[in-house]
Amino acid sequence: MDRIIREEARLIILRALAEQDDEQLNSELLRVTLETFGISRMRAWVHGELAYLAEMGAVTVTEAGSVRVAQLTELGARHLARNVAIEGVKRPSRPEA
Amino acid sequence: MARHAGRGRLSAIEQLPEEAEPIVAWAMQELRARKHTQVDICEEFNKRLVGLAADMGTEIEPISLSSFNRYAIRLAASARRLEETRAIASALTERLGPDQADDLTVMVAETIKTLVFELLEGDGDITPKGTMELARALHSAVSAQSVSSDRRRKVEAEFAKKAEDAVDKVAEARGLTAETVEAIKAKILGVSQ
Repeated sequence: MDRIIREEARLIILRALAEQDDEQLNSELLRVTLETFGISRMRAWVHGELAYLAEMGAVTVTEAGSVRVAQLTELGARHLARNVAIEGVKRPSRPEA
Repeated sequence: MARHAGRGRLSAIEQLPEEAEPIVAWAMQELRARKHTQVDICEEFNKRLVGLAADMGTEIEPISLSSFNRYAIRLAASARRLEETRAIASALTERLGPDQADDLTVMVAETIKTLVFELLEGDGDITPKGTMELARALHSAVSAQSVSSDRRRKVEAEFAKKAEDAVDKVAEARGLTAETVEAIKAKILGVSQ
């Protein structure tokens, strides 16, 4: 159960980053983004997921006081394009024909 | 839509057991995909809840359509503000080249985004808390010994300029008074100086 939510949340995070012009977003706005998908968690939980994504090489993280800023990496973008599959991150669904 | 002080009463959906969270997340995704009607999604949602309750050996009251609708509207409003934030901020935070993406530039961009989001969300009485946190972090990073005085001046000027532009853009979108605009600027820029 927890695993499903985490994998889902990680995909939502990568997508949210990709939607930004500069492909980066801070953890507070990511927390709000997750909330709009029915996943209400504390900022600390978001930081945990960012740490996982950074560990897997999908994002890089910059500390900014009590907030963290995540930046999408090439590998993260490739996961979104379905070119690679990062473990622990839900795969984006296939585009519909 | 009237907004309540505090966190307000928990909605029926928020009172569901933790195990129901994947079902809630599924329903919100379905609503966003806009491929099925809300009535259909709510029906399927309740079906899944029945299945979950059976698995857990308990009972879960079905969620009424109006309650489901209230929850969906609240989340959609939040999603819309994020979308507006993205649109406004994209004009102010150009895409960074790999060479310019140093920590300070990154922090300036994020402080602006948070500022725009909080201004859009605020109800007249504006207290941009997250912005303050970020502005303070930016300020302490800029004051660090390792930053040259030249770079320091540049980042501070860049932040001040972008913050003013951001406030003006939001003021335009939300019809804020000149007085409010000045008050916000004084508050934001007061932190960074």
